[in-house]
Amino acid sequence: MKSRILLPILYWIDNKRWLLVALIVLGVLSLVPAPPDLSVQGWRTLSLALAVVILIVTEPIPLPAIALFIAIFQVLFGVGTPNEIASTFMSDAVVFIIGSLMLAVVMVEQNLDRRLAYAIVQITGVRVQRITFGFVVVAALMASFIGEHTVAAIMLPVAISLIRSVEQELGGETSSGLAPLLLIAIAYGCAIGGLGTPSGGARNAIMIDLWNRLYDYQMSYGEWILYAYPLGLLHIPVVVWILRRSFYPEKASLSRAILQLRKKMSDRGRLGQKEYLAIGIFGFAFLLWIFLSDRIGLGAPALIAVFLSLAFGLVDWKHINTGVNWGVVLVYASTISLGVAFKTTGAGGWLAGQVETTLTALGLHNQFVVLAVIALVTMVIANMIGHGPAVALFGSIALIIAERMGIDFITAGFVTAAASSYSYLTVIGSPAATIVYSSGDLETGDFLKAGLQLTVVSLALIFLVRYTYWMILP
Amino acid sequence: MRVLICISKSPQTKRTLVAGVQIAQAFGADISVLYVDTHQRMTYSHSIKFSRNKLSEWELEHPGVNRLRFAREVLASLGIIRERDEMLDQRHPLRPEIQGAYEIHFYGDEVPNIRLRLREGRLIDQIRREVEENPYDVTIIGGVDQVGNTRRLIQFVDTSFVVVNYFTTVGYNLLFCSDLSDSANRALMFGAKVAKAMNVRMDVLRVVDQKTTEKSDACVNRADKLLRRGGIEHDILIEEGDLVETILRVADEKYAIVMGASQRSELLKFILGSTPIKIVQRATTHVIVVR
Repeated sequence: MKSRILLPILYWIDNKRWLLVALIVLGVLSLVPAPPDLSVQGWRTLSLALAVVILIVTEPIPLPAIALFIAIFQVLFGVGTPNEIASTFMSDAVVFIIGSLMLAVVMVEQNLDRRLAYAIVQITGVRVQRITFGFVVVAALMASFIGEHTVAAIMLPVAISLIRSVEQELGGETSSGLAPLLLIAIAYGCAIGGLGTPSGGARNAIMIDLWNRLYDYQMSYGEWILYAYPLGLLHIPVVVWILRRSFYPEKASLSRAILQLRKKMSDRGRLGQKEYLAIGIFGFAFLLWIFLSDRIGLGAPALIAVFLSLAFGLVDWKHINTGVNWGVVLVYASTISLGVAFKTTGAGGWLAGQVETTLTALGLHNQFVVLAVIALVTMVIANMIGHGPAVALFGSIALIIAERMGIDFITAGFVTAAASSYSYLTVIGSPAATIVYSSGDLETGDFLKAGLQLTVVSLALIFLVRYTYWMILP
Repeated sequence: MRVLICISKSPQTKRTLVAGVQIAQAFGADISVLYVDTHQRMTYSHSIKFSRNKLSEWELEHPGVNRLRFAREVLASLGIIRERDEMLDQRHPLRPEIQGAYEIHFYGDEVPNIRLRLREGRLIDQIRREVEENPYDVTIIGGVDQVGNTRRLIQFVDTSFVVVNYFTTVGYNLLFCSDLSDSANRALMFGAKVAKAMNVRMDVLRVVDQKTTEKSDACVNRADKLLRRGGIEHDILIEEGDLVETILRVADEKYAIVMGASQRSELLKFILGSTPIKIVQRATTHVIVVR
């Protein structure tokens, strides 16, 4: 009888040990006196951020519960008044994230995946090299406009179809070369493309929001593209080259697999009225973003597109309601709120001061080193907790550090956003990586195999662009 | 009686299935084969669900289904799934949400029912849920990689265990480790039944240390009597030394170890572990832990 009561308690403790660790860390740190040059609220905000990182990495509780955890402790710690804290949960960036997620549901409802598959196999032919190139290009281009989780989900069946066909040809053997090649091509294509436009991912909208809150600067959609898109395009051949160096497919030609895929696609038909309408509505939103985002923000065009989709019956509310991951919205809102608290409580400034002092002591007090440190730290955090939360949590600190070193906030912001995108090393670094990994055809080591090389190259490319192309931009 | 066989992606998993089938046949038990797909992460689970829907729209199988297919092929090759009109006799094809899992149900020849089940999530959590939702008597699992997972499995999953290790010895006997507990008595009965069915000998090991009492002699005598009555070949081995080290040394790869679950309090087991947990963590041979 005693063990019947005790065992579930022990199991809960065992299962939720990281939640307990996070709470203990939070409790102990909040009881430790704050450093003399930092407010109590600032110290507690830093403690809360550490606890949140532990929770996101170890996943003892569902993601939305972490969002609630942030809200609860911000109020309990007196980081601000309840109304002040609640107001930091909502901004144009959050509205934009909600709108983008809804818009992704609209696009998915149009069954784009089969058309996409058809386009890929028509354009690329049957050689694995060209197919890989096609996967990276299509994933990058699409992920620059719509959320990468949508792109990865609609490209996954195309890749799996090809992989299964080849496995059949191999007599049922598991493909250890083609599978990682194609699946990681999708994940990395999304990673490099996602930075391209503000609608490519939450991290971009969050950075724009941070600029707005911290420097009262509203970056337009077009301006972002001007800065970020070339960096993504530059990555495409490099990603393809590294993937080819890392994975060796069992067959150089997928002629039979492609033939089977073409057969599957034969019933796709012509574009219908609804599909034209969906493309038109997305195009309209794109124009609004390009020409009006500096005045009406990023959220409103997304909502206009969703409103029109609902009004014209392209999608019903039930599908939007079930298709949007409201938990993710909560997480972004809460991490943005925590990022704001870094500024308002002085925690970000204090941390920036510590970094500055350390770099000075090491004789590394120059802009290049600071940007390199920001990029590296962002990459590490993004690989641990995903790129969106990484920018939300670390973005404001990175901007404050850069500001103290005399680096303009736009450069620092883009370096941070870009570095967060290039979280190639882990499964949880990005939604696209998680989705392709969930197919069961990858090992975690596959990400390291290609990702380590690509991380180095991406860092080099960020600095190449920063010291060449970005210098000539207005 | 119901037996749960947990399989993995490891190529050695066939041995787990074979060992599981032998035990199920010994008891005429129903067999459930469980594959836990641990690729699912809680973060972005919504997106993963969405991608799974897309895969099913393309008539592409759930990632774990190929493991179930592998299990079906092994079970069919062992001849335990009933055939009707040259087809495997299937009660129902793959269906979701049957006691929290995807399931295919076959009728068996020597064992009444064979269920192939697929779950997603963390390994121990899913095995625990499986056992909570279906009353299994024995869980058979291949060598568990992580030390922590072994402890969790033995402590938190409420069944007896057969941990199958992939050692090279082809023929092996059973080694019953006697102690004073009630579970040791059940282990003795269980081991005797397995030894009889598999036609192997079961030696009885008594490790002598300061705690040895008359009662433990009684336990050995009882084992001796039962095995003699059952016509099971056996010897009584009396060894001196540390309990865990001695059991591991004697068992080596010549024996599969049979022992009762620890009677320690759950709190002590949680903090300090127990003899069965330590044995399972370190043994290179099969270990049977009976509750």
